Amino acid sequence: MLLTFLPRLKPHIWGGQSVFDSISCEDLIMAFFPCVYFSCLSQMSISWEYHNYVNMTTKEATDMILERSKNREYFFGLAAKMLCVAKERGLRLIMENPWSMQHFLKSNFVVAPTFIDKDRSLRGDIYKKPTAYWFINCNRTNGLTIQKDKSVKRIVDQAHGAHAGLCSEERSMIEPDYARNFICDFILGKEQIGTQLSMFE
Amino acid sequence: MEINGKVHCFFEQSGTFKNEFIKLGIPAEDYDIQNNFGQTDHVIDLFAEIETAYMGGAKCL
Repeated sequence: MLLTFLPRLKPHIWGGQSVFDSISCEDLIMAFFPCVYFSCLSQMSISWEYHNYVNMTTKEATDMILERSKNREYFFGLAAKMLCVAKERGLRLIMENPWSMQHFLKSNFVVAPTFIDKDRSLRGDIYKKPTAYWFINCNRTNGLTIQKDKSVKRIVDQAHGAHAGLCSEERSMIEPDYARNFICDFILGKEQIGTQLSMFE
Repeated sequence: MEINGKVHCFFEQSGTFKNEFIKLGIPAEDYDIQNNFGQTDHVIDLFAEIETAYMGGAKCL
């Protein structure tokens, strides 16, 4: 009889408790999912021509590439699973990830992003850095707060990561002004100083 | 959208958003496997949490 019921019980036995069990449908999850294996720099490292492989044999470089490819698949799976958990449980979730030209999720993902913020410097960030946002079980609002008051830096001019193919903390930084303006414009629909009012509201 | 509950900020760099939500009067906490700045509310392996939740188990409140 145990063998009959075990398949039905299995998801509940093997699943177990997780942090998602303490999150309600009245909450919001904001996930800045690690982009380390999706970024364009990482895509460049999936090539024998990558500069870090110059002094390696072809087999050594191939081993590095296969390891990176395996890690990328693992991270991809986790991102897909995270969205699935939120979608199935009715949890509101916003996932963020860079949206550079060769970003891995551009042509390979479970769902297209809700929108792309093409220029973060307009809302107070120090980088232009096109960024994609996926809204799961929730809708974005349409505010526009212009705060272009900082010198725009280039990602490529900032410190490199500690290891080849990894993004440095400096390149990952988000300005508090951008965070506030993003929250007001796209999550809360909250007017603040600097919000551009629309004639069509 | 209205947030009647709390905001849960996952992974690195989420602390900036956490702080801005709090300034806007919305309770927020952050979760990460690292605590480089000593401000992470929940030092937790989110990858393991995602895998556990995906496998099934208890559902949302």
